[in-house]
Amino acid sequence: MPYPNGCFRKTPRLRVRPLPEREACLVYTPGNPNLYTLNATAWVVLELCDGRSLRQLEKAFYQSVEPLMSEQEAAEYLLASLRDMLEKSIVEVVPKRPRKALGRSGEARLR
Amino acid sequence: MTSEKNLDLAQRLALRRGAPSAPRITEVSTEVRTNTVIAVPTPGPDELKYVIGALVIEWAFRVPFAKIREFNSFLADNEALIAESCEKLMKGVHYRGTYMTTHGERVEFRTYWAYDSQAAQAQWEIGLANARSNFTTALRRLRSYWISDPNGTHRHFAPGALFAKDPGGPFHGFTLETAEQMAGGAGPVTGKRKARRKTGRK
Repeated sequence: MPYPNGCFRKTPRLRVRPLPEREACLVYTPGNPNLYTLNATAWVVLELCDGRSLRQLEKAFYQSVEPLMSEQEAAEYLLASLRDMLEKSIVEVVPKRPRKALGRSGEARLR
Repeated sequence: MTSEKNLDLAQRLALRRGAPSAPRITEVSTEVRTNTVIAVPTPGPDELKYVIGALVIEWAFRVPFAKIREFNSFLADNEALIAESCEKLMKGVHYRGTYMTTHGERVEFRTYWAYDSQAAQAQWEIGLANARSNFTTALRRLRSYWISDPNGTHRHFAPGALFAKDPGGPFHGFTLETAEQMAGGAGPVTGKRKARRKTGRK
């Protein structure tokens, strides 16, 4: 991943509508107008993109899916989701915030 | 729903069937249903000088008898303000008056707006930018009479001559061609019809 020092977050004004009956969510990207369906796995990744770094995302995503997936499998799913979501302007990478802006558990809170 | 609740829900759904399935993001093909919307071509500067507007919008509504005198007074006091504000604030948007039926049926009002082009409707963003202006206040009140009639209608008209060259967008063009074909007229020639013409078969 070419963003070792960045944090991942949803793109501005992104709209997310849960569709629990379809085990998915709908996402609208107003900046680059398009509508997408995310299955539950991709949706978990999206919700974790609240300003976390890649390392923090790997850890949080693994915690969400263990013990059903290994760390490596989880990391693969995570990277695939992030790549796809970056390409589709669903998430974006922003520079890391200074240390003092970190919230509890050391996670960057950008919003 | 907060993001935290979304995360809980997404996580629950991801694990519902055991090991999560591979992440999948699919684009939803949106279908813009414009079947009944006809695109209005913009007339050239020297075309159709005799018409009310390239696009005319009509609001038709009834006002309770008990309020007719009040409404007519409102019009007398505010129509000039509305008409002149349109000219001053917006380009290509014109107020053409509110008319009352005077013969043969229950009293009904019709308000007419004229636009120089379909795109001129976007000018309302400028015209209504000041929510407290006298113009916006008067317009809000005028619109409130239309809103109060549950059977009020809102119709768009454009001069028929405008559609002589451009039928009004691809879907409307398609509809007209289909109708003409069904009538055995000048619709597009399909592959089968071409073949029949060549072989002389009917």
